[in-house]
Amino acid sequence: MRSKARTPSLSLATNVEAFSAFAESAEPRLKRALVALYGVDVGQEAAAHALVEGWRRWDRVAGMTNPVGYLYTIGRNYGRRRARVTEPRFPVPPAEHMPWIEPALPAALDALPERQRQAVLLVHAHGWTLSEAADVLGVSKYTVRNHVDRGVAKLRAALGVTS
Amino acid sequence: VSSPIPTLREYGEFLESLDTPLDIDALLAVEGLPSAAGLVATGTLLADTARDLDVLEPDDFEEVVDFEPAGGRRVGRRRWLVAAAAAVALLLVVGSVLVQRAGDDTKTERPAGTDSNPTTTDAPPPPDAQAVAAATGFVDAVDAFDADRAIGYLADDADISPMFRSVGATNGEATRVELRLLFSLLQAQGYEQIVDPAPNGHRCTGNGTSDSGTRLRCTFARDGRGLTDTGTYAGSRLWVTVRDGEIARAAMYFQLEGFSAEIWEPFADWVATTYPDDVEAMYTDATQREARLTDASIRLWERHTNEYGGAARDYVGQVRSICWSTKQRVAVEGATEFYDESWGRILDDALPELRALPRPAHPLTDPYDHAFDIAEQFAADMRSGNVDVDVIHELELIPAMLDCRFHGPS
Repeated sequence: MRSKARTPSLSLATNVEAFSAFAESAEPRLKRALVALYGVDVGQEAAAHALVEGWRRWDRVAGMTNPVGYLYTIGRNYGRRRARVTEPRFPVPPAEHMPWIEPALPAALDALPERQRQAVLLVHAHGWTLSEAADVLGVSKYTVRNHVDRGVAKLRAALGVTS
Repeated sequence: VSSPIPTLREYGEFLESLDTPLDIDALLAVEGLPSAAGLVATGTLLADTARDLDVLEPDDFEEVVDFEPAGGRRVGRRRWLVAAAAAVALLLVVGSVLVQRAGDDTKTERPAGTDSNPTTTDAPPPPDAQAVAAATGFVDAVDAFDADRAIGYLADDADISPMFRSVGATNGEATRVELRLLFSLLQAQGYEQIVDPAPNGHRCTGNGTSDSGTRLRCTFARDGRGLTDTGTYAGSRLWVTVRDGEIARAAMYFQLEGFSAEIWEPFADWVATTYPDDVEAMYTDATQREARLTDASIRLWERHTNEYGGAARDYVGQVRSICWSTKQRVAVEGATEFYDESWGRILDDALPELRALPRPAHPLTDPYDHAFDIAEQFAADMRSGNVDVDVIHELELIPAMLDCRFHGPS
C-alpha cells in the first residue's frame, strides 16, 4: 500500500481557495495571450488545458515566482500541437453587429508571424503594457517591443494605412 | 492611447466577447471524473466538503482513486463520499470561478458559427427521450461510419459543418455528399471510433436547451492504429442539437492531444517527401493542414496510410506496451503517489528493454533518437528527487511514451 506523498502540504481547502484566487487572476491573461497566438478556438482550449495542469501541479506552481508564465508555456506547447490540424482563425465580426471594424483586419492578423501577431494584439488590441506582456510571455520587454514594431509595420502595409 | 492600426482596439474587444466559459464537465470527463452536476445532485455542499477535508486522514485520499461515478453503487461510508466529493469539488470550485468570469464576458451576441462549445454551470434538465434516441442513433451511425444511417437523422437544414473542422478535412459546403466522403476519409486514414460511454454510463447526456433545440454531448474514443499504433485518443466528443427528433446541428471534437505531433505531422512530412506529387491531391494546400475530400484523395490516403504504417507501427506499439507495463508497475510498486526514487528505479528497469527494441528506419521512429536518453534523465531526476518539468515535457512529446512519464497530462 503506497502512501500519499502527493497530498499537498497545506490543507486541501486552503489549496482550493488559493488556486481559485490564482485562476481568477490568471485565466484572462492566459486566454488573451494564447488566443492571440493560436486563434479563438485553440487559444481558449489551450488556456483551459494550462489551468487544469496548474491545478494538477499546484504544489509546485504555487511556489513559483511567475506561475502565469509557466502556465502560458504549458498552454503554448499544447496549442502548438493542436495548431497544425486546427488552423488559427481570427473570425470576422458580423457586419450587422460591428460594422466599424476594418473587414480586412482579421485576415491581415492571421497572416502575421505568430509572435508578432501576439505582441500586436496584446499591446494594441488589449491594452497591455510592454512589461505585462513580457512577464506572461517570458521574454524581455525589448523583445515584445521589437515584435510589436515589426507586426505593426506589416499590418499597416497590408491594410494600406499611411497616416 | 490611439492604436496605430484602425479599429484594432475594437477588434480586441470583439475577441474578448468570444470568450467562452470552460466546459467543466468535459474537463472532468477527460480526467476520468464523473460530472460535477451529478455530484451536486447528491446534496453534498461544497462548504461542508471543504470543512470536512481538514479532518480527513491521509489514508482517506487512497479511496478517492477508486471512487465510482455518481449514479453508481451507493456509498456507505461518509468519509468515502467526502473524499470523493473533494476531488470533484476542487475542480468545481475552480471551474465556477472561471465560468462566472467568462459568463460576464459572453453577453455580447456571438456571431453565427462560433457557438461550438456549449457550456452550462448548473445541472441541465434531463433531455427528453426522443432527443436522446436521435442523438444516440446519430452517434452510433458516426461510429460505424454509416453515412446513410447518419444522414437519416439529419434535419433538412442541418448544419454539420463543425463536424469537418477538427479532423483536418476541408468542410467545403458540408453537404451530405461531403459527409459520406468524410467518413470514407476517416476509414481510409485507418481510424476506428470506439464507444467510450460517458462516466455516468450514458452515451449521450443533456447539455441544456436553446431556441434551436436540445443540446446533447456524446462521447467516443478514436483509435489511430491505421497510421501507427499510437493508441486510443479518448475523450473525444460529438455535440448535437436535436430539434423535433432530428439533428439540427452536429459538431465533432476530437481529443487531439498528441495526435498532431504523433500522427498527422510525421505522416504529412512523409507524404511530402515520398510522394510529393500526391500532396496536391491529398491536401487542400501545401501547408498540409487539411485533407481534400475527393474520391481520388481518399484512394491516395488509403494507399499511403497502409504503406506508411508498416514496421514503424510495430515498433511504436512495443514502446507503448513497455511504457504501459512500467506505469502499471509504478501504480502497484511505487512507494508514493508522486515522482520519487522508487519511480526512478522502476523506469531504470525498463530502459534496457526499450533500448533493445530493433528500430526500423522510418520517419516515425526519428523521435526515438534521443527518447531513451531523455527517459534516463527523467529516471535520474526522480531518483534524486529533483524532477525537471522540461524533461517531462520532452518525454511526453515522444510518440507512445506518454505512459513513461507516469502521470499528469501533456
